[in-house]
Amino acid sequence: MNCKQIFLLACSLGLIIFSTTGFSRPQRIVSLNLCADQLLMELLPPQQLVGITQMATNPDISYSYEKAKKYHTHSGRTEEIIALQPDLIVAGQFTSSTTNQLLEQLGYSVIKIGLPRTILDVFQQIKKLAQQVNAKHQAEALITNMQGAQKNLLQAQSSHPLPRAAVYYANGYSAGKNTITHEILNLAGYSNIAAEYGLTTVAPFSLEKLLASRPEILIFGHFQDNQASLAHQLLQHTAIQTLITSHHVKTITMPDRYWNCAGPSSIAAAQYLAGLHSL
Amino acid sequence: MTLRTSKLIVKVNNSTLLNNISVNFSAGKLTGIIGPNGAGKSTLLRTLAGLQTQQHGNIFLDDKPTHEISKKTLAQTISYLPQSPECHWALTVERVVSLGRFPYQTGRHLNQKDINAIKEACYATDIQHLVERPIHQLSGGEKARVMLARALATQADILLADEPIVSLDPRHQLEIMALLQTIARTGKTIVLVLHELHFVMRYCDELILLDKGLKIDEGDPPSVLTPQNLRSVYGIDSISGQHQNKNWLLPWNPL
Amino acid sequence: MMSFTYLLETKREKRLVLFFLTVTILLFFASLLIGDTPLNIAPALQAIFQGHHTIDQLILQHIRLPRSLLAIIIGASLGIAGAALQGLLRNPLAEPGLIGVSASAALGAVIVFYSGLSLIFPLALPLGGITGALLSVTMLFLLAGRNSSVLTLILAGVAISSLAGALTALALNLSPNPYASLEIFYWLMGSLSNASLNHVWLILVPTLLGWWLLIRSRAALDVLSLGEETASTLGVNLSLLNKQLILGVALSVGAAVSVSGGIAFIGLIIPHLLRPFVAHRPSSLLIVSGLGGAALLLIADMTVRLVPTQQELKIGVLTALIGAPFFLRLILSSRREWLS
Repeated sequence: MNCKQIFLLACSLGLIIFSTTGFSRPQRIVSLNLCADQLLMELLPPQQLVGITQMATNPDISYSYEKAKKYHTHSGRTEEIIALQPDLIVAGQFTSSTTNQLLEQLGYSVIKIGLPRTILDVFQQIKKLAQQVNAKHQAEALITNMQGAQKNLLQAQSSHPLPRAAVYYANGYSAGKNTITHEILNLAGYSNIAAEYGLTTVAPFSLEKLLASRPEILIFGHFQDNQASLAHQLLQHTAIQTLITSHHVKTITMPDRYWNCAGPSSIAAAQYLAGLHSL
Repeated sequence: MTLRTSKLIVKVNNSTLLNNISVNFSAGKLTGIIGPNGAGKSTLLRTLAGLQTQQHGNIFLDDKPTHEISKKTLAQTISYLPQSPECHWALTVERVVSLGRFPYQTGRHLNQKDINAIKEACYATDIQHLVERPIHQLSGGEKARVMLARALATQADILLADEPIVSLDPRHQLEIMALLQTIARTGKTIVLVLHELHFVMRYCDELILLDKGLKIDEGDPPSVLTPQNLRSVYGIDSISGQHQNKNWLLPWNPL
Repeated sequence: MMSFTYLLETKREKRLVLFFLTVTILLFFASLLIGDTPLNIAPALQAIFQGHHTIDQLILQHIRLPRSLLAIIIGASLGIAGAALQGLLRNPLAEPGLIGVSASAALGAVIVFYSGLSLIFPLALPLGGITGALLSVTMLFLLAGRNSSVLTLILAGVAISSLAGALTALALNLSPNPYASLEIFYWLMGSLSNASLNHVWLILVPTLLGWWLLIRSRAALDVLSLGEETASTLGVNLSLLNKQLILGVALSVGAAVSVSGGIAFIGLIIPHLLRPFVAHRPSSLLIVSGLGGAALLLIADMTVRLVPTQQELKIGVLTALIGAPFFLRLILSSRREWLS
């Protein structure tokens, strides 16, 4: 072979190598799910995470609502998503399933993430996602931070029996053993009453049981702005109100954004709750 | 108690049902209102009962206009039996008849006087053996007698009845007409709308002949049921005569 | 055979009322004993009377007591209103649920509740229900009141029910609260699960007023059996009677539905079952239907609390499961009469 041919060969090889590694590195990622939004914002800059849901900017439900202002948001409609020219789409396993199906049929690659139940599950999810969007360093940094905070929380817990807390959501639901809420409570130094009663998921917990469990602390979702529904009316039932005043039950109002996604916000949720211990 | 109308005009939907009717209903007499279909007979009766308001004219009870009399007094004074009376619930016969005492009742309670009136009415209409039966189980004729008993139970001074014997068998027709005549003789005012001209001739003391909302004639049966009137108003031919010193009439041929 | 003294006798009716009163009271106490936590009744009662707050007392006084009381009040309202509507419209199928009165009451309550109005002014909730009920009963009366044809009444009821249901769904969807649109099932089927003493106080006055209006009209209801015209000649003030009955039904049903949603069929089943025991007399049927309705709703509520489903079964589902086949049977057994 002469010099010209070697040069051409080297160029083509280089082109091939460059393009294949370029194809394996997603450059334009769109998220269809609030929890995915928040995870991805920790891992990727706006140049790479080209679309997140509008919900991410809502301070009532999104923990990273400040951060979300720097990113471009979409309304979830398929046409908008396609217009962003994504090469990778991250969606929730149980949400937007029709949109996911449609996008897959159109040839887009869609990753679906589930709902972690423990902090370890969260770390696993972060690592797996980071691998797929090629953000391993950012993931490691994030996990190290979270582990540090987790250790501090566990050390701060006293050796006395943990105060008993019940979480009460709209419609009279509570969170049992295999839920991220349970993890958060334990991390914050509380004993979860719902788990005592054998609940293993987010499930109905009757008002009578709530009273009979003699909770020391009641944790409600933030509902002050949202009182006009029967689901929320239950939380203001006179039985609960009278219990609080007559038995000196401490109440904590937990803004929804801390725990409607399992992720970095979970550590923040535990810190929020732990900080109210002494009050 | 005298009942009379003065220049009564009743109009419904641009058609005049009663045109300047002035009539007198005497106490102690059985008065029949007769005429062909659409003459205004039922309208006149209903207006007397207070169910239809007149556009012009007045109705007087003992020279007092009825609109100045309380509803309760009117209910105790005038008893009305409509055409094809109905009862929506399967009440027992005695309960149905007892409803006639409502104008005197306070609340739901009946006193002995009420019971006596009800008893009398039941015996008079020959339904005393049916009193515990639900009214829906009775035949058409029996039901009609129960409804008449209800109207009689009020013991009102004035009874207005619209075709009260139309569904009865001949025996009961005769018995009821005789009964009504007897009641009239005790001083009550009885006004009937009747189609059965043979009964009209035999039992009525006075007649008022209406046609197309106008009063054509009035007086005792022989003077009203003349061949001329029957021809011009009813369009029929009839035969008549006397039996046991009473007049009889039988419609014979359409003209 | 010729016992006219039967008309004077009131013992039979009094015995019937006493019987149902006893049954209702017994069921009431049974209802206090049912719940998913074991309760020590005696100390709880003691705490109530002494004004102390214990957990048992809280459960008894704030959870079980209001629920049982509401079952009685609402069951009684539905029973009385059913009997009254049937007397007013002279039709054995008239029932607040079937002819759209409950659905309209629910619409009124929903508008008031989800707009946040009832949070500022609590009495607005029963008032909303009453307004909705009043509009629909008036409309029904105008459409089908004088014409006692069954067909007309049912058609009018279907039209009003559908319209009210659709508007309710619309109102719920327009609400900013994310839970609202899921709650339509509660409003259309009814439930006593979140009953609180507040609810009881809220509906007590309009309910008692409604009952009073209906009961004082009952003598005239008997006379109404003969038809409006004959009743009028017997001295019944028709316009006053109709207004009292319409307003009475609106007050009692409207208030009830505003706190429990639309529980159906009680006003159909109870009067129908009890009518033979009062010799079909409309005036006797009212109070007895009220007590029977209270007893039936207590039984239904206790059943719902005992059936082990994860989310408590809505009580309206139970009454519909019993009531709808009952209704079908009614139709089949008297088809001939109603075709006229």
